Amino acid sequence: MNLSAPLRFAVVGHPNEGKSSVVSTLAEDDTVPVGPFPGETRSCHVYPVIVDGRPIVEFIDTPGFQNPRHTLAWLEECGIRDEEAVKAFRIAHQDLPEYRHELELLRPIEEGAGIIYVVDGSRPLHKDDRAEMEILRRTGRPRLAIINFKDQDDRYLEEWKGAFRRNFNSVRVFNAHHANYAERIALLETLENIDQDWQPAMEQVISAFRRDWRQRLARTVDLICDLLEKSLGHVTLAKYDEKEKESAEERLKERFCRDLGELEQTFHQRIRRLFKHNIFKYQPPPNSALRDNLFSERVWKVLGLDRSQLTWAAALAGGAAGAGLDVAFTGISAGVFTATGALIGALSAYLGGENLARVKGMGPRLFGLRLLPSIGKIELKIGPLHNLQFFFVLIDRVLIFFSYVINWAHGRREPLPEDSPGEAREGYTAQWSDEQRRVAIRYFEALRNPDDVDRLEKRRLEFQAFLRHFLAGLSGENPE
Amino acid sequence: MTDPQPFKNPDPSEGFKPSARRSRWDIGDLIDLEYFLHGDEKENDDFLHRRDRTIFLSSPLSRQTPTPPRRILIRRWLEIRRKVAGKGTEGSPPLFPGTVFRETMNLAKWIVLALGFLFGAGLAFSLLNYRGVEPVNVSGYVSLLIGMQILFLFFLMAGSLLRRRFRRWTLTASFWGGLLHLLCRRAARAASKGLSVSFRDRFNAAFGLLKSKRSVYGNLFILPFFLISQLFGLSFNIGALIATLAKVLTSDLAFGWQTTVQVGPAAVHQLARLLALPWSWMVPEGTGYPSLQQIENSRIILKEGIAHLATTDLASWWPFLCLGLLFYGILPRFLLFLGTWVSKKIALARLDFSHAACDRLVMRMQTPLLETSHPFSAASPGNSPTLNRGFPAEEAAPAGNAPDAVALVDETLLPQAPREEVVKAGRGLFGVEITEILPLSGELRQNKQVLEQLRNWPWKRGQAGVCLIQEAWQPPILESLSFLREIRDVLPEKGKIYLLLVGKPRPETVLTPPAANDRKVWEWQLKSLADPYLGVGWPNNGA
Ligand SMILES: Nc1nc2c(ncn2[C@@H]2O[C@H](COP(=O)(O)OP(=O)(O)OP(=O)(O)O)[C@@H](O)[C@H]2O)c(=O)[nH]1
Ligand SMILES: [Mg+2]
Repeated sequence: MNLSAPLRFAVVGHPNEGKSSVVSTLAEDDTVPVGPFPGETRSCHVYPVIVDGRPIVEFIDTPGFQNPRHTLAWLEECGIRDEEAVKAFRIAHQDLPEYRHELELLRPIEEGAGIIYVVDGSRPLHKDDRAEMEILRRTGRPRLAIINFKDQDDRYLEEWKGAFRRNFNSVRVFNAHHANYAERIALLETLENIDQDWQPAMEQVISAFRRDWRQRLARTVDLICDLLEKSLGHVTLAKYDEKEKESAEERLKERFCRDLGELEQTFHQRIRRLFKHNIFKYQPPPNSALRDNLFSERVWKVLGLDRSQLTWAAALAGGAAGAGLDVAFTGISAGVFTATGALIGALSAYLGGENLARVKGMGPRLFGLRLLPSIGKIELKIGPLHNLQFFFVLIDRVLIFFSYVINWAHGRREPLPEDSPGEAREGYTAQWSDEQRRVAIRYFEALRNPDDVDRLEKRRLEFQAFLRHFLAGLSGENPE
Repeated sequence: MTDPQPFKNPDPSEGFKPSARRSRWDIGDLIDLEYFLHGDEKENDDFLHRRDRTIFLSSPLSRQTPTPPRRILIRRWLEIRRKVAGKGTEGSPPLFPGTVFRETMNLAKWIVLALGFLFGAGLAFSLLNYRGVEPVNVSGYVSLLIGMQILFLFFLMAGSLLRRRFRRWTLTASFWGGLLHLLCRRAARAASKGLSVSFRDRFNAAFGLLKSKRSVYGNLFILPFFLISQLFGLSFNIGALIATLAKVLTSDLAFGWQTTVQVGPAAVHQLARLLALPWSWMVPEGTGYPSLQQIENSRIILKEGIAHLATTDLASWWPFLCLGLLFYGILPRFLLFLGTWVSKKIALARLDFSHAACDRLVMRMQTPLLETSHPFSAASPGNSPTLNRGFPAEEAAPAGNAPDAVALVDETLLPQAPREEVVKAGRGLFGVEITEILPLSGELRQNKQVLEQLRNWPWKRGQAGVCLIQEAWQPPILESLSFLREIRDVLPEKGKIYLLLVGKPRPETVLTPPAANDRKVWEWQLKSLADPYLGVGWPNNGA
């Protein structure tokens, strides 16, 4: 247990190399200011990692070096070493405004912070960089070099690594825009191994990160089951006059689809919050199956199971669940989706008779007997949509969304460009093994009869255990 | 109700003794647990995590390694939840469902004891009603007080066997389930009087939960009701026995038997011997049960009266009746009671609290609260310095009369910057004739030398021009900008500075177009220099 002051790391480097982005991604904090122009960060900002109310580690975002060569020249000339040199430098340059950024960024180092030096590895090494490395070496503090990649170009990687090997305790590639959970942990583990004094605090932080992640996965699984149960059990009711039957039906179908869309939206909101995305406006890549709404033709073509898998699954789930499958497939191939591509048009055919039920003649009743003559109203009802393919389509959409959210680094602020290469993804469920799918199907089956609480609970637990495992796999964490 | 100190009301708001009760659970606790867990379902995750983690950390358990088992952790959590919930309400301490359950059961236990005793004694008295005219008919006593109980035991056994076979929907299970449900509803209604509506909701839900938690707790919640019913049986039989003994002792009873069915004394004797099997090994024939002779002698034949029957034979029946009560009534009830009580204890001790809600709870307690958001960083990002936007368009010099210029090239770039290409770029981009290329080593001293060279440069017609090749992928830092200022300082008035921005080098040349964003960054920074004789250009086709 570390009861003393928190362990501090100064994240330093050339301007605009992605220092703030690295901090943002590492701390999963999307409020860290990041900008395309150098000089975005102009003073130190502390980003603490608080475990159980106590700051254990602090990452300090600093401004970039503005005068590396002059600074180095001064240090070389003054003939003092280590922290003392930094202090002397501060005293000598206190009143020089052009050295403001250097003074600011060296301050935590003078106070004993460890150094995380960030460079953009997609560009060649420059004299300024060598000067900065030499300055940092002269501070005598333990230091880690992080190679960030602002673009894909890795021609210079070896050159960078070579330069770092001489001056740094450790080197790590860490892409501020793509690093995920596993890479964050790996980075922290590197820090842990640099200096023995850092070990207890880093160990504590890493373990907290790990447990926190596991808890988030468990929570995600709960939310997924909640969404599945709500969606599959959703019922929309409406009363209409006999005369407007046709349009009433249309409206009801639309409302049904909208309701389910809203459930999904709420789910997305919660997942985003769980993974600490405050500003990231989730925008799936252009040809993602998430762009279209739940009942669109494309979604039902790419996600869920294919025909043979589904037939097999339906057999496993027992009769009724499979009803409507053929309608769905002939529907898709015969183009019964409406002009807008939505399934709404075919919904009733797809759902089968039982799902669009109508009860004629509303009015007061006593023991099932109508007290007044029919007053001409029809009650329409859609749902519950207990359909196997729907179940798998939902799971796929959920998993795709989850994987976008966990892979969207917090340091990454701009949405994907519209012309970005398609990350069009097929669903995950089609790739599940028979055994994995069977667990899902058993849960699906139990959902059909929610009154049998014991069975539902048991199967839900099985499914959740499996899903937690699966999500952990997707995020590179070993589930325990 | 089977609490070892059943009469001590376990008031949760009273002091919690960590060592004694750390891991002991009773059904009331489970009910409270489910009640709190149910209430938590609507709460927000962050709140729950914060609260439960704080509870965990504030208890000494958090300092134990390895972490104590769940039953202790959750038990501690429950104590604190109850304590905290108790503080919120003023006046009388809140009535938790578990307390209601315990008190209801306690009350039920006493009522059942009293009723059982009364019924048993009453029945025995009425069966032993002897007015000295007709002897008491044993067959009524035996069939009602003993036969019924044997039948009942038989059903119980069959029921439990059936339940083992079919697990659900057996007679007893649904009977006890129904009784449980009914009693829960009663208890809830009784207890929820005077409670706020939302509290009552949670209350009813908690009792409803018990029913739905069968998969978690098995039949645990049914056992108390079963125990109560055994208690009833026990006190019923004790009542009957005491009444019988009292009757035997206080009055001169005559027992006889009669039947309309044609069975002889031999058959009756057989039956009596059969019934007496459990005790005949220690209390022999003639005492433990009547002998054939005694039976024959105690047969009542209405038209003959009882005058001819021997008194001793008439009294020979009562030990049989008492032993029957003892062995078919009291003993099995007692054993059932004991067995159930023990199995309840075992079930409670074996609870592993592994269902989903407890999983989440333990996870919340053991997962550190992790905050990485900077509390103040949500403020607006730093503003960029305001810039002088009056950057003039470059004036291209008239062709053929191109002024001369000196190019400054970093020495590391020189090998990939052949002279003719630099000259071509100077012509094409700035309309100047580059006459000389000076290498820059990047060292400050050498920089100074170059600047001195420029200061003393023999400019033709006083038209000075310096072309600096700058890697645009290096962001403009003060040092680079101040170098530009230094160049400005050594140039004569209206001397031109041409900044040639290049992108990342290719193997054959450094004169590549810069990335659009880098270019913008430089243009934007250069504006801050407000230098009207500074021109910017960049190769646009890799020239
Ligand atoms: N494509 C890509 N862009 C990145 C990456 N890291 C940073 N950037 C971009 O680079 C720019 C600068 O990022 P910052 O994190 O603000 O850089 P900084 O080092 O903090 O800059 P200063 O605060 O100005 O010193 C931003 O536009 C980022 O979006 C990366 O890994 N990939
Ligand atoms: Mg920054």
